[in-house]
Amino acid sequence: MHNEIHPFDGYKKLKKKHSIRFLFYLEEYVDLLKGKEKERLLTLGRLSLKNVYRFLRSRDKGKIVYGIHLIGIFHPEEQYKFLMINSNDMNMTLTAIREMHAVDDIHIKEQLIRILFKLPNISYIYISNLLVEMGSDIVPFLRQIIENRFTAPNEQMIAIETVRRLRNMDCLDLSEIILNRAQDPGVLSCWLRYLEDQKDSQQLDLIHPFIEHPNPQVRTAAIRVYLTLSDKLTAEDIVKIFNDSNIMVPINAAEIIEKSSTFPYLSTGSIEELKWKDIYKEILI
Amino acid sequence: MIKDILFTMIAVFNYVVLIYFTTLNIWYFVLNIIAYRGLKSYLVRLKLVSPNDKILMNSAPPVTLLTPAFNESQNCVKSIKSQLKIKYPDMRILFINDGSTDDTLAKMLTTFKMEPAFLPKVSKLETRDVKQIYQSQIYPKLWLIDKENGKKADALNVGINYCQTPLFCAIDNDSMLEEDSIARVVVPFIEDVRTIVSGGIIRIANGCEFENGHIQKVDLPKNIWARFQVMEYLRAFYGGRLAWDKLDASLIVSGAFGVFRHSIVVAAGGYLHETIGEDMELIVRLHKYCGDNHIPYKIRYLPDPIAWTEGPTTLKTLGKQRDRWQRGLLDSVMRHISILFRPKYKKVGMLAMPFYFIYEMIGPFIEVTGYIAFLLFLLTGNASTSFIVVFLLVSIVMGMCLSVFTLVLEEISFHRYPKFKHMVNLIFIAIIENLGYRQLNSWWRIKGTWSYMRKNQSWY
Repeated sequence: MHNEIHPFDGYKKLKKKHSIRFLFYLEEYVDLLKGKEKERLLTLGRLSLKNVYRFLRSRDKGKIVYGIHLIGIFHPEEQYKFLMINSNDMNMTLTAIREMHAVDDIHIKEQLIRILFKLPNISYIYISNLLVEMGSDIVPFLRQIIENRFTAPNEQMIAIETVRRLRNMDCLDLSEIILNRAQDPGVLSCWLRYLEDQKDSQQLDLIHPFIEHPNPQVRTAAIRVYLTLSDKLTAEDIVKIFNDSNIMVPINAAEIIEKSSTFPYLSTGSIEELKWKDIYKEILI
Repeated sequence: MIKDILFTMIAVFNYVVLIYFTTLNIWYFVLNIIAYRGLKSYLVRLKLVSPNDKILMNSAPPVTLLTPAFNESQNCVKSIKSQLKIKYPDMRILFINDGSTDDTLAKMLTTFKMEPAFLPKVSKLETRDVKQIYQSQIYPKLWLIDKENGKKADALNVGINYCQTPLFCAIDNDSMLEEDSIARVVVPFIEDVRTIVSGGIIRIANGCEFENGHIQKVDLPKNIWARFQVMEYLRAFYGGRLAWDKLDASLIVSGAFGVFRHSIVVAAGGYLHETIGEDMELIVRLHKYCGDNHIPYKIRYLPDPIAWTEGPTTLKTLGKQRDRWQRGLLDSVMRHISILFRPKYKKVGMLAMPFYFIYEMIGPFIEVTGYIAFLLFLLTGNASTSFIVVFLLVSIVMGMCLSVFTLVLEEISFHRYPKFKHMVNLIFIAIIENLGYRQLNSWWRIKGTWSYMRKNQSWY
């Protein structure tokens, strides 16, 4: 469809009015219009919904997802009724859920989150992206997950990551619970990243023991947050950080020190160029 | 008496060849149907979720492009400039100069104002020594590793050792990626945590117009050999790889364009130095590694991320390329022959490997000897009309039909050859390639097998 044609002129030119093609045509314009014009267009679209229901009743998975997509434009509240969970085709189910992420109903959103958590093999970050798009009103629900779902670390990780990316501070008070009770390295490192982003220096004492955590991912996250929030490093800490068996630990430490205005400048290259004693001297002198 | 026995033997062999061609065509027919179904559902998905989709790209994992180069003075700058234009949120480029003896290094250093820099080594695959690492002062995401010569696999392993991102993309220096190719090819990694490899389609660049390394106009090559390759690539990628992907049994992700999960490649030992087909060998080894260690995994092929590459234009270079491919295939299959018919490796062991073993390894011998036997049968007047018709039908006409079906797949999906005359030309190629070119290919593959048996590891 041509962008220069006004939607209503285009409508007049369409041979088959109230067809699926017509709906696709309208879809291009709905978001471009505002106020009464948008309403008129949506009303015209609703006239062809019977075709959409034909899609939704189809046996073809692709057509069902199309149907869900189209009904979301004109009757978003009805989308959820047609969601089919197909364990043989996770991609299609996920695509259908994606189509619904903007639904304006917190209960449906919670249902969608529960379904997303049950889908196997979908990457956490992708689910978290979908959750971020759902908006901040899901935070109380995510908080419940962070606080209570220690038996499902994957859900906790996704919830923490989402809260972090929503830049929401409402969950910071859970630090003590998470850092004391969580055993999963993924959950711990996610929480430490959240603290790093929120720059909450109240938690330093809680974070410090994690600098020596056996898991390198947790160690890296703990060092990043510790160096971000504090400019106090003990000689023992420096020795441990720059002599860490996992290369990512000193790399991350050097990156933070490089950015820091309170520490003396230390280039990432120093990791290999200098021995730890030299690094120690450079930082403390 | 001896003559009679000989004729009976030829007749029996002819029927064996007939059975071979019939089963081969049935296989390809089934693969094409699977590919069609896969393509259909992929297109539906693509209409709803574009690769530039906000939700997908918010979580786009960082990718490092590994470009190994040996004496690529003519192409290196053009190729890197094209890579710098790729649209992807977090991408680094690692150009690996594999001990070039021409002015590749000098050209790169001056054009991109590269200065010595530090890059931490994150894995310890065994490689030849690295001389120096440079970073561009104009494009901070562009890095160069200058190393001692050690062939492509060694250069890629050096790249893997210095790759700081969870994913890396191995590409040939002469491949030109479309702007959104990386965004498209990483989608399986974002969606499915099991994905360890994802590859895109390779298309022939001959005849197309490029500006700053990016495609401006798609056209068919003027050169007949390159034209045959257009058809061949379409058939291989649409009919073959798409179907194997749907079956979860992809054995090849082209070395010219494939994205890999860094951690799993390091765990499996990286690229193998002493093989000519390092791309296929790595994929087969990853299947084996994941199967042996009970790691759930996915190796994906997508039909829309495109890398354009120049195909050989002379019979001699084309023959050498096919000879090399056959050696690579044989080497990969023979090294991992233990996968064959082992249910532990699922469809890879029970379906893909037997297919490659029978139709790709032994197939060329049956085909070429079959044509000779058929001619003998014909010349001696022993072939009945019905036999001739059936033989031509299964050996040639079915091949034409399958090629035309591939063109249908291209037309209903991405339709990259826009003009009507392109389609007419491709249909013509689909028909005539079965009358000589296909047989020539079989001959090159026999030569490749012979070279492999003589342990020839040379690139040319």
